[in-house]
Amino acid sequence: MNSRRWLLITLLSIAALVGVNLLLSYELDVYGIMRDPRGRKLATSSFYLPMTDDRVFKYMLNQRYVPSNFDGVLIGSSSSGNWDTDLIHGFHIYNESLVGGSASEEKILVDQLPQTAHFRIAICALSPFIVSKHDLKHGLGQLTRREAFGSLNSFGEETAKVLADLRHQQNTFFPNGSRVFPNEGTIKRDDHEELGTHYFDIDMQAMADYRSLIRTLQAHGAEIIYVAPPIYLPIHGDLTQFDRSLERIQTQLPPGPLINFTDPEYTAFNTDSSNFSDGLHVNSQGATKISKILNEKLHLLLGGSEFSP
Amino acid sequence: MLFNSFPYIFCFLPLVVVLTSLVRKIAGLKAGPRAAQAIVLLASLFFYTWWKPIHLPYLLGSILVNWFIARCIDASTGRRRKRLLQLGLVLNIGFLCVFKYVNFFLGSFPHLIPPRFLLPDFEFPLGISFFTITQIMYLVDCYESLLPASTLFDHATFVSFFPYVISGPIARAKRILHQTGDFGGKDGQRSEFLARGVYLFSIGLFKKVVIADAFAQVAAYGLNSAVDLSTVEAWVFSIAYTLQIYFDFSGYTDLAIASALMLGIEIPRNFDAPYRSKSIIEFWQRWHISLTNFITTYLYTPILRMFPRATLTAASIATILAMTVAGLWHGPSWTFVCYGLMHGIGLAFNQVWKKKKIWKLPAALSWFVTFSFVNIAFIIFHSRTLADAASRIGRLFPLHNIFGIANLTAMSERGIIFHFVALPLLIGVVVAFLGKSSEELSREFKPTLANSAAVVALTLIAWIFMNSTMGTPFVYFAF
Repeated sequence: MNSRRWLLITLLSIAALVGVNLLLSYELDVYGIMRDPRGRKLATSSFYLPMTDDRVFKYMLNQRYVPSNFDGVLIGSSSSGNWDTDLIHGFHIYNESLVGGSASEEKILVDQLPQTAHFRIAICALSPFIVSKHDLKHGLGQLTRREAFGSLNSFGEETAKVLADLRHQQNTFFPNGSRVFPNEGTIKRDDHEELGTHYFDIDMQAMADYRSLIRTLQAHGAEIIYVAPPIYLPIHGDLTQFDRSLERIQTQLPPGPLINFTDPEYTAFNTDSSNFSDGLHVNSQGATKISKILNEKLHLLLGGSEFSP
Repeated sequence: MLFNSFPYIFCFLPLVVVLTSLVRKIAGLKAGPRAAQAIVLLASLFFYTWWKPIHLPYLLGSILVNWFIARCIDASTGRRRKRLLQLGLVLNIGFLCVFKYVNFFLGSFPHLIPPRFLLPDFEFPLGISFFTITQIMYLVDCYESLLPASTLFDHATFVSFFPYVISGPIARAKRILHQTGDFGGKDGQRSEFLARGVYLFSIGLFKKVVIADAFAQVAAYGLNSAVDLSTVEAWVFSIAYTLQIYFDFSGYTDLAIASALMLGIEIPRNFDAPYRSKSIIEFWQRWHISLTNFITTYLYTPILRMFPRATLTAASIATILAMTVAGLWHGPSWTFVCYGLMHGIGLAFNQVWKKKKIWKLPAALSWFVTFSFVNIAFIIFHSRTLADAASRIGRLFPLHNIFGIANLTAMSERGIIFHFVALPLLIGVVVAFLGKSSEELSREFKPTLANSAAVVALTLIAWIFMNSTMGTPFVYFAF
């Protein structure tokens, strides 16, 4: 074979395979950015992809899928990651919570929303963890839409999608952004849990990012509701530091009503070990219960307002 | 515009290759090569400007000044010729010092600075270390009458040639200038050069975006997230960086050489499987070869000539001095100085060992000692401070926790190693220690279907990694 022919074959083969890959990406459109995502149900079964977990997925979904299919968002870290937003009636709320997520990371997700996105409600979880640091995990700060056109993550997602369609694999994330934690257990009353010395520290950058993301959501029309996630009292019985931290965080954010799941009225829930997988995370059963309670509280809170569902 | 970026691969490079080739054909035998060269010059200036337009005047100024001095050297004799060379060297070294080293030295000796004196905040022009060395070599070669002073057009094209202007390989004028007639494709060999260029480009791209960036993930984890490293982990993370820098820089070089080949120009090789070396001398004959050549010809030899006799001691001192300067050339930091000094001492020791025929080590042991030495030197190279380097080197010795793998386990749990990245790491280890160098592969290239399939596979895998969020900038761009 001469060099000219070799070049022709090689370059045409590359072009053809890139073309096939683009067609496949368009057809599967796992991130809902190539075709109209209205009415589609996009979820992922990939938890640990090479460089990321749920971050890439939610980053991409916020560009078209979330604003097309939802009228509310739930902002938080893993403590609200498995709350089932489908149980909140009258709204279509997308759960933006990230495992180990900070306010800075949540802000990047929210920044992906198009100018035209409109929300009725934004539920913002207030935990000390979410404002304790501002580092971006797994390359979240460098993501581009190119991920959708054939990347390690998109191939992982495409494989997961095909396997899920063939019922070989169950999704770990649901179309509303909520998730199930793999191998979650139930906490024991005598379990011990260290929060670390810096757990209650407030990172100024993370705090500023949280403020900024709330203003962005308000600009998209969302009514802001704050929520303090439940805490398993037999382990973290003394809530003084949590209360103090909550107060400090709230004073630095735009005003809004607070549903505090650490209030005494939730003591029964917060002392029932069957609701928790550890001191700060509810398990599937607890997540279902807390989502229902949140539904009731929201309706009470918004019952008389224009946001009434 | 990075060599591994979409604008470079899909727009800039193909456009320049097609344009030069077309212009060469259209303009005919006589004017064709010059017209193609003009396109390359414009493309090079555009490429350089793409980074930071504000840096272009520095490059143009350096080209003009050095071209003028070379003309003057060419036209003069005797002492005036020498004075002109000295002027040229002072201007070039001064230029480099102003941007790279003034703050470093003043900052290192703060007691010498008056209390209210503010250090100038110069951002050094991109590629200054590389193109200044190129200019110095050009002036010395003109002075030594190894080549005549070239025209401004040729000189500007040679210095600003986009494949090497930012990060090398450091090209010697006499290797490039005689090829200026080949821009747009060497007559009769256009397709061969282009095919070989495409082949080498796919190898370089794969080395950079797949292998080097996979090692970068591991090395970055070791540097940024790991705590209380065990001895085993300290070796794993440091070797990951040593492999990262090799694949990063040699991948970059492959992309540079391949880009030039596609335009019909052969630029010097820079790497030849350095981690297979069995001595430090051999390592420097295989690692950053163009820099080694510069150090040998333009630093070591002049220093050695300053001694009354070329004894082994004189050679050792000259080696240490030359390598220390070469270390400092990498950047304004004491860690780079130490890196150079360490290699200088290693080379001097190696020279003495060889000359005195002290003891011939078994090949495997020679390789192990050499690689360990290189690995430790790269820890210094990579560290922010000498104290940081000392602490990281200390971890390599089995003083406390030897076999702990807590950090490696944590890294695996974060999904960094599993799935797709494990294979590139494995390929990287095999290629670095057992595989052929890109230079060998490129030399042996034949337009076969197997090679075509290899190029397609490497390019597609590279494409996938380029789309993924794991890219790191070229390590040598910092210099």
